Amino acid sequence: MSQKDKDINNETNEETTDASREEIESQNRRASDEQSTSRDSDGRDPYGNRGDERLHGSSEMSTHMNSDMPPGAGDHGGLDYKNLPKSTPGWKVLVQELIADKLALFSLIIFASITAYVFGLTMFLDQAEIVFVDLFAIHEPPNEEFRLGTDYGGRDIFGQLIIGTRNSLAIGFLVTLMSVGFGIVYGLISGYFGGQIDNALMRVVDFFLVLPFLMIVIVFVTIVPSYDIWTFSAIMAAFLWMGTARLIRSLALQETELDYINASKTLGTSNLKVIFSQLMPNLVGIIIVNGTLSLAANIGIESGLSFLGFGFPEDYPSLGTLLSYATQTQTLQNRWWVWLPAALMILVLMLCVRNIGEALRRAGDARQRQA
Amino acid sequence: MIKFTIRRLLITFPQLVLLSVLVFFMGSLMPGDALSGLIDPSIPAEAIEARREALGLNNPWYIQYRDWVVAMFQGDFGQSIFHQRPVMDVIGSRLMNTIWLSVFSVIIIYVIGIPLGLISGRYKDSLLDSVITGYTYLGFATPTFVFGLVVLWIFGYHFGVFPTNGSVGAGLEPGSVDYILSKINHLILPSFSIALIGLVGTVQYLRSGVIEAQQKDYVMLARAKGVKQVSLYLKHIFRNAIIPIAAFFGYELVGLLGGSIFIEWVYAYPGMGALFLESIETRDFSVANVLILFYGFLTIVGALLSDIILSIVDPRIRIK
Repeated sequence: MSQKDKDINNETNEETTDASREEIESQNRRASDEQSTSRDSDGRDPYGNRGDERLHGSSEMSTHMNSDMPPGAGDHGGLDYKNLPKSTPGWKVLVQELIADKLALFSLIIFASITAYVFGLTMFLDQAEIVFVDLFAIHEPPNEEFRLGTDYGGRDIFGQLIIGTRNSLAIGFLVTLMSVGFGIVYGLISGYFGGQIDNALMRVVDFFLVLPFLMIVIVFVTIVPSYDIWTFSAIMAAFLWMGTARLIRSLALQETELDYINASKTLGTSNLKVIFSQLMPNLVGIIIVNGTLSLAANIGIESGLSFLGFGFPEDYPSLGTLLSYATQTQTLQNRWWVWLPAALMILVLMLCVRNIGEALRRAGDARQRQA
Repeated sequence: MIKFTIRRLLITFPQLVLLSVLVFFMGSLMPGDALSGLIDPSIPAEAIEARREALGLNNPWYIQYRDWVVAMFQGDFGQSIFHQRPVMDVIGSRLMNTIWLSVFSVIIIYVIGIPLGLISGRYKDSLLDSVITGYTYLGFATPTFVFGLVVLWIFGYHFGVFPTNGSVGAGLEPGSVDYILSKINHLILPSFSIALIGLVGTVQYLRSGVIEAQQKDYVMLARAKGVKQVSLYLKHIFRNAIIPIAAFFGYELVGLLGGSIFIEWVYAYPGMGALFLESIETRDFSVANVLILFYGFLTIVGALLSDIILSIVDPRIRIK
């Protein structure tokens, strides 16, 4: 079955589901459970198509929702085009939706405070002192001096937790920026040009998708000659961009069919300008959503790699480094303070970022909005 | 059906070739070759060089690649430098453990996940549904290895009810009842750690599938005809809601085979994932290479399997 068959099938499915969803939603509008129809929130859709999350349709939809619409604006006879209320811009819808969703707002506040706290504190913390080996304070339980005890080298766990959180967040952002950025450009080009170019580019994506991600990354991390934060992020990003590329490509494919792109092309606008200053702004909502959900995943992947010992070096601790101490039986069994805080931190971070992403994703679907 | 399968098979062929080329080049980037393990001061450099020439290690890359592929088709996957045994022997000793772990996990995922998804879709917005949905939310945000560590800590160490490492107790006769029971006992914690996180996707897909199907015309008709609630859900709605889950079966199985790296590491379970990490740590790249090739091959087969299953459960795809 070719890629096209899959897409066609997926689209027809979506049409039917959209119709039936409309019914559901009209029956219990503002149902207490907002995520009833979050079919592919887990991002496991193998085709990467999330056509039902079209954010770029938000402008026309919000026009319908504006209560201060002048009477009679709906019927086409005496339509006064000049005085039509301006539709809410896409990003504003996202912000409104985020504020309306209490869980997401709560998550955002927690996430922002953690980020601000760790980045603020690490500016004053002396990193060299924290990773300094103190053999007189090995494996101390939490006490006055060490708020969360010490590890096998007598290093302060609390300080490592703060630095580790910062490093994990930083690398998460970096990898997301790289992989999503590349995926966007790749997907836009593939979807915009279509035809043979699209076909060729998508075969490359198919190939990357069959690679065993974890193993390839571990091997590259081992054999790369100069190993630092940048190469580590680049290696991760090199095998993580495919999801974004497929998603953006399928949306760009639909969007390119629309009149405004055709009109712009007819007027002789260069392809580069059409893609990046006309097509891309219309996909910005879905890009934000995709980026947020990727960030959550990337934080998990990075700490997983560090946990296995293929991430950050030990004098540059990440949350995964702290967890990796737990592979020693003694530490796992008797010294919870070494690894449990890091485990909870990963959990809280990923939960918060996912909640924010999910709320943004719902905001993209006008039927599921709350604000 | 046959035509579809053949066409689908044709796509996998270039993928396999590309994968093998990539693995081959990664292998040549890695330090050491088949003779590194033999080098010692008593052997003159000329002798090593002669062996090198005889083994074809000085040939251009395309000839080496051809020889490598031909050797694999003849069942020769090279020698493990660390274990001093053929790579296939080393992998073979671990293969069954990983397969058992994956099969166990898949069974748990479907045995627990399908009822949860059905219940949560059937009683939408009830308290039970909120609990299940909350669980899927948590499950999506929890990395498997973190969950595995916590489970091991609580049930393996704190309560001490399950073994904490290995795949079988020591000193048991292979094939005896005790041996099998010990194997199962060692599987419980790892497979539940994988499954309880892995099943959230299944639950969520099934839930939205059920909610969606409830509103369809054919369900209304069945209801109007007086089909009983139970058989309405178990026969009519389930049949359609299961399609995406059936379609994921191939990916799910293969994903588990590959994704068990973390859990095997946490539980010191002697499977292929743990073998991969060990071989990287001991710089035994010939083993690591074959494992990558093997997992890549599995992923391709999994995608193929998924597409074929999808065409069976959803006839619409075949027609198109």
